[in-house]
Amino acid sequence: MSSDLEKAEKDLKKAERDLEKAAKEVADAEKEIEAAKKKEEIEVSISTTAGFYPAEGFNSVPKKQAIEHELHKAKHALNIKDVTGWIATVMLAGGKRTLDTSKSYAENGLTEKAEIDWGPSEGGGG
Amino acid sequence: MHPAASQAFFEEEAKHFSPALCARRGWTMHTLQYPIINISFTAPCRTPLRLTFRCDNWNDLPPSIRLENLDGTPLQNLKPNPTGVFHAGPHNLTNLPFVCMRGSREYHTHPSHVTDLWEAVRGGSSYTIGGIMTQVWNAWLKGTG
Repeated sequence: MSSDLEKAEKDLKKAERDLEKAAKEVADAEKEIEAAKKKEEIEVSISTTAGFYPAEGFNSVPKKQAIEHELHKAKHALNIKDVTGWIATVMLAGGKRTLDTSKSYAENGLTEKAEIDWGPSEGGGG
Repeated sequence: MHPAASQAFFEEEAKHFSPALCARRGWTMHTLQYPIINISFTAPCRTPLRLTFRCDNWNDLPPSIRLENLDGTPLQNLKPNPTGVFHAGPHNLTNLPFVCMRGSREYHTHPSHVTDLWEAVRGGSSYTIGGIMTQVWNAWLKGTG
């Protein structure tokens, strides 16, 4: 009887150790997934004279996603009626670069963080 | 437009011209108080351009835009710009160089453009105060000097 109890206690301790090990493996796997996801995502903030999207900070979006997808969300969130003739740009050390919004962030050479400015292009002069 | 209504429309837009927006765009805001926006556009390797947008009677009338030197005096000599937005003038009413672009009061009151009515673009997303400022800014960025 006593040896049965001892065996059961031993088995329980082993099971607890196995469980702890498994929990650690799950946590490590989750961290790896999160890191892999981050590698495929970009932080995006869009500025306009009607406000910022998101209002504060950045949204994480897939690098392979077309830029216009996030612009479309910004248009609705900021109640902008018509974006005909608007351009999306980023400021670089060498100056301002206009983005091809039908293409992805990656295709536009944006990799980690994109502070995109969006607004009407210059009007025609007389 | 009743002045109080004009001021309310102005302030509804102006609240978005935040320090964060100015930092991102290289704008230096000197004055942001109805009916005046006094701002400088800056960019690497460029001489800043200072402007006053006078928005009295907004948005029955478009802003009157004055091009200025860094000290706020009227600009007399324009830097090179390929867009045609910055016109050497002199404008028939101000006797100064002016912004020759839809959305500028000086454009719509110039004899060459009086048939191009503000009403045709008024209320459009590109012809808010911020939209007009952005258009002038984008034109300036295409220039040199």
